[in-house]
Amino acid sequence: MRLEILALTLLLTVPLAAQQATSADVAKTVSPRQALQSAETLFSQGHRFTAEELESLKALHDDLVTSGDTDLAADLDLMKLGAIVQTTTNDDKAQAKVALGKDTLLWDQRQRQLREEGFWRTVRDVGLATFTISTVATLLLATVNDRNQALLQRGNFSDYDARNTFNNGMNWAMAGTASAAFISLFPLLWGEARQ
Amino acid sequence: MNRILTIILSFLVSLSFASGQSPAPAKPSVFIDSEPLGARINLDGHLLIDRTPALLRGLSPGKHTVSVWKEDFIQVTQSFQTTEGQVPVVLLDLPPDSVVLAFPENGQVVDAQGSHPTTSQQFRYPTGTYALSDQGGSIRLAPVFPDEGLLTIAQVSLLAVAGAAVLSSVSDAYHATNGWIDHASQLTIGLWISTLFDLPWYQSLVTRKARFIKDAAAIATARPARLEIPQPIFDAADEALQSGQLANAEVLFSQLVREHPNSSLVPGAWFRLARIHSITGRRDLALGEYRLVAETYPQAAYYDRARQALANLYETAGDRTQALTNLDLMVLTDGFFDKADIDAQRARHLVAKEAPVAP
Repeated sequence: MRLEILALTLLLTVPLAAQQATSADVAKTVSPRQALQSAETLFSQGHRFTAEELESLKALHDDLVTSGDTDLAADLDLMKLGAIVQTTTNDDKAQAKVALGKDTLLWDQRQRQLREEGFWRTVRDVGLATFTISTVATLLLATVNDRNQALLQRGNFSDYDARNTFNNGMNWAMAGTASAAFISLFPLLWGEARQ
Repeated sequence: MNRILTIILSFLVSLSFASGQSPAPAKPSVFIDSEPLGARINLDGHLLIDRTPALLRGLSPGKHTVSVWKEDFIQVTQSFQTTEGQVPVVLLDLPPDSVVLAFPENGQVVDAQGSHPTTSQQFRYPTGTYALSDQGGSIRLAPVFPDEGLLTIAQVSLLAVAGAAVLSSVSDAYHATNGWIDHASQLTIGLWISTLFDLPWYQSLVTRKARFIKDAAAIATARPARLEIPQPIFDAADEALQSGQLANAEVLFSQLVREHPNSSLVPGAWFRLARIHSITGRRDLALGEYRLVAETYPQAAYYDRARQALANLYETAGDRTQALTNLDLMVLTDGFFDKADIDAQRARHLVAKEAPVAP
């Protein structure tokens, strides 16, 4: 494998050097087509191209275009894209392996946040239902109590004590529903703020 | 002598396949795929290093839950059942958490953040409900607060309770003046308390709406010269391939893999490119592309076909070990291949591998 990488580097870099060399013999050693073939062979073996090698492929692309092999240059582009995809995926996997613990924490945090949003919405809904029911009950009881109080003052009841005890009970009931409305405000406001 | 040995070996290998000594039934596997590709996978509460598409092997039989998530998309969760010998395909469509809009026919867009010129601009808005009204030169886009109904109820109830409290207080004052009562009625007290309680709830809803409006701010970017979606490119390329226009198909498939790298059509495009290169004699290029489909994009529709193509290419090149490895890695789930055929091919390679080479 090492030999192949060496061969590729040589094959890819020699044409570049050949462009600058004065001797025409050097240029003849490796043609762009041969270099492309070598690159494709490495690609077929799943070789991970380094940044330097990818840069050499860019030079090879220019060589192929110059020599009129535009279709081969297009193939080279495609091969380069495939090699980049393969390398990036492998790198991403290696990186994900290293950062798995941290990523798991982030994922769990996001899950918790999603769950909490749902939880606080339920808290808000329960608070709202309790608040509405107890407020309406408080107002109804207040109306009834006012009426009872007025009737009691006018002396409409023969058994005053029994009626008075009933009225006291209704007053306590109203105090209870008013307290429930007050207490339900907390889950209502907490739920509203944390959604 | 060699021929006799080959026949005996062939017979023994075939016998071992027939008697069920072929690779023991593998543990259940599953293909996890998503649109778009490249989503993170969480299987049964464990985050994996693989991204979609992925072929997960060695699962325990039974029910599993998979969640996939990608940045800028909404997480999707699905359960699936695995049994030995079956390879289910879990395909998850991730809905985007935002939408990109352009208004080429309107000069201005008016949203919750104000007025913006639309020339050569596109706007990314969070996914949600918007009220849209076209006013000729400008277009109005108002995000609809999900609890708008509740806010209206809170507003109306606050006004009603406060109004009733005022009226009840006036009534109490009138009755007290006439000497009918000597203290505030319970109803008046109850109404004022309710008003007092309603206020913070209403205020919290208003605060949440303000937060929602702030979060619904659009991100403006330059509008691209043209917008292309991958499906028509894929269809055109496939049509060219069917009609034998390989060069044209190659150009279109190349365009697709280059311009839409996250589309779920990409594995199919790479597979077809590999086929084209295989037909046109670009063996190494085809080999690399088939490897890409099998290893980087293991999508249910192409995985086995890519592995089999790799096996054939390696067989042609005389590399029986690689050919056998690729045949062993096939999951035989898409109904495209007959298990008996693949087993026969595998047996042939084993025989050829184990047969002594003639001097």
